[in-house]
Amino acid sequence: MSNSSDSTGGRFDDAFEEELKSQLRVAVAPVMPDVEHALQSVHRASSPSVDRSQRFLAVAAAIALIGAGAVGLSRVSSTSEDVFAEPAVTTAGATPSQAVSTTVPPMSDDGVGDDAVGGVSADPALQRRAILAAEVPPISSPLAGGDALRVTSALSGPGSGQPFVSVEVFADIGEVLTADALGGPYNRRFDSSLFARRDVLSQVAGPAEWRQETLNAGGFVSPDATVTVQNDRLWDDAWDLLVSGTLTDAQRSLLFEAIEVELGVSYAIVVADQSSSEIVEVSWNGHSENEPRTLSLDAASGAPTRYTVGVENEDVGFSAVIAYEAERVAVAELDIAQTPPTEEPNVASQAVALDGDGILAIEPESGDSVVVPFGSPRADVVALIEMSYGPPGSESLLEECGGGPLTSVNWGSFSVYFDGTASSGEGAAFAGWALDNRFAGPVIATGEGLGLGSTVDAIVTARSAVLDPESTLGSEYFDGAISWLTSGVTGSDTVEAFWAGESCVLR
Amino acid sequence: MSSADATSVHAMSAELSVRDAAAFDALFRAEYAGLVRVAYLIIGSQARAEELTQDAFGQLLTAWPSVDRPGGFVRTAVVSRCRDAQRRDITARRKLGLLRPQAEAEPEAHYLVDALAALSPNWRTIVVLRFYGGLSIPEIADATDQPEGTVKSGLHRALAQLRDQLDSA
Repeated sequence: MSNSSDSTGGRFDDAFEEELKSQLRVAVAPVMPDVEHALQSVHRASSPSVDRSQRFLAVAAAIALIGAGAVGLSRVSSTSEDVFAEPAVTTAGATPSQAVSTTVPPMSDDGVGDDAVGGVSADPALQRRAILAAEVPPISSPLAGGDALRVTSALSGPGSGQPFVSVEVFADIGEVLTADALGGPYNRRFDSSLFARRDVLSQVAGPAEWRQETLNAGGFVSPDATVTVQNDRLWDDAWDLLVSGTLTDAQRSLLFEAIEVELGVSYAIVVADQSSSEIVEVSWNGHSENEPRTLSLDAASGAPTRYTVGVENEDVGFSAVIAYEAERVAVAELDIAQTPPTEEPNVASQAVALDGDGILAIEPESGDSVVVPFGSPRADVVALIEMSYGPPGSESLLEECGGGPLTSVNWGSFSVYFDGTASSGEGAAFAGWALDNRFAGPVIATGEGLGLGSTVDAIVTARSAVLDPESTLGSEYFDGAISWLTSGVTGSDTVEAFWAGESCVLR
Repeated sequence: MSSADATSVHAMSAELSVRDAAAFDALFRAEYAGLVRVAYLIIGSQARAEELTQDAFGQLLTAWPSVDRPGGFVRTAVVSRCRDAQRRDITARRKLGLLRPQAEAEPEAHYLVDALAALSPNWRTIVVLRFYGGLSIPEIADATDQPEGTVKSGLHRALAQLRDQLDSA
């Protein structure tokens, strides 16, 4: 072997690197993807028939979830103001009474499952019929504190090992979830974040804001576990519920026979074709809030279904899916669980995050993101943020800024700057953003989860921020895109304000 | 993600012209298989590699009118998705021990590739992009959204670890 400078400037063997390249080439030799088929899939998935901007990347999330598969249900609202009283989606579903009386044989009997395996050719009407038919009469009075939520996951076939079902309860407004909020074996988490964000939660008033305040608690339970809700306020405020499961390898090759969840929920049902990722059916069942339902899906045996059923409302979009193979949903939630809330806010539950080049539109379930860069039209940017935080609380003109006058549109502590001074915003472009902990406001962070309260250690590690020794503002760090004002220079000191783009900081 | 990779909310729903669609298809045919293989080496599953690569191209298709460097865009998107997948896997394995090895048939093992699997996800990504993808340090830095220095040191240390593993084997 000959020694020489390696790829990085160090000294390694040429032969070593060549051998590595050679083995990598050999390792991927069997990987022969069907390019033309994949190309068609991508085109179908990007069909303009789906209004992506309105769905706010929800379809992308669904696509991502469908790929790995998921088993999930999500309770989508229970604010005292019924924000979903008039859903935007077509009310094509059965009325409660119709749903109760409908009887449709299992999909294995009517061939839906077989058709569905074929993907595009599946009959949406049959799919929908099968889904709606699975509804059963209301089981009892509305759920309340102390009620049990029973999750049943029935799997057939020779698979060994237990499927794992994750039950997540999302608190949106108000009550603090205590350690006793969920029963059964689970990995409880985020309790501290619930307490930490109590002041923020108390400010949430309108339905447009509740989504952003989603908090997470819950954990993994065994199939057939009963999760007892012990918080008296649980069903009085806005809460979400997500049930997801993970199948073993052996089970992965099989179908689930039935997933049943009993819950009080007002929901729409979405049927999407897995192979094309197109939503083929949306129906709003029209059930009233807190009307307990059992949504049960039966699938044909022998091959995976190709459709996905989700629960949707007009605000949160495709909030969860029910599909074959559950993996990503549960794992994605664990990603959140790992993060200390005080240092790394729950970005995964955010719909927007901050970026050095603008803001990130994030699909909460999948984490997929798109940058809305500085320079974007004001209307776009404001509309995007409003989807998460509702209308801005205030707007002000900043005439003395060094780079010229700016208009500041404010959501509490979160300010977004636009160039120019026209109050109408006509022609104004997105110029910058800032967070300041002197004001109350939404919890919003960078894509890495850095925000107000993050430590100096965190911003230095995650973004390679360096201290600006000449700053007149105090302890100011800069990472090349974002400026961070901290309470000090020790690793445990925390971020008090941060901004990117044009700012109006008086130095 | 750089501003070059950005797309506006409006662009997300834009339809492509015939010429754009043809250009997209040409890029897809030229790059798809290679990117799937890169993703496969990083995450170890062909099915997931294909899935996330298609997702990345879907993102590119949506953002096409506003993307200056579509090749770089989709490469970055693939790497980003691989990193997300790695994080999910690591978390799941650590927290639950639930995820079984991929059911699909794996290619014949080779000692360096096996050693590669023992690297941290970031280092593995860097090594794959460098030695299979043939990317330069700046290109890897761009694709992984890391400073060049970080990539360089990571690559150096990854190679050192690979050699150590082989020496101790």
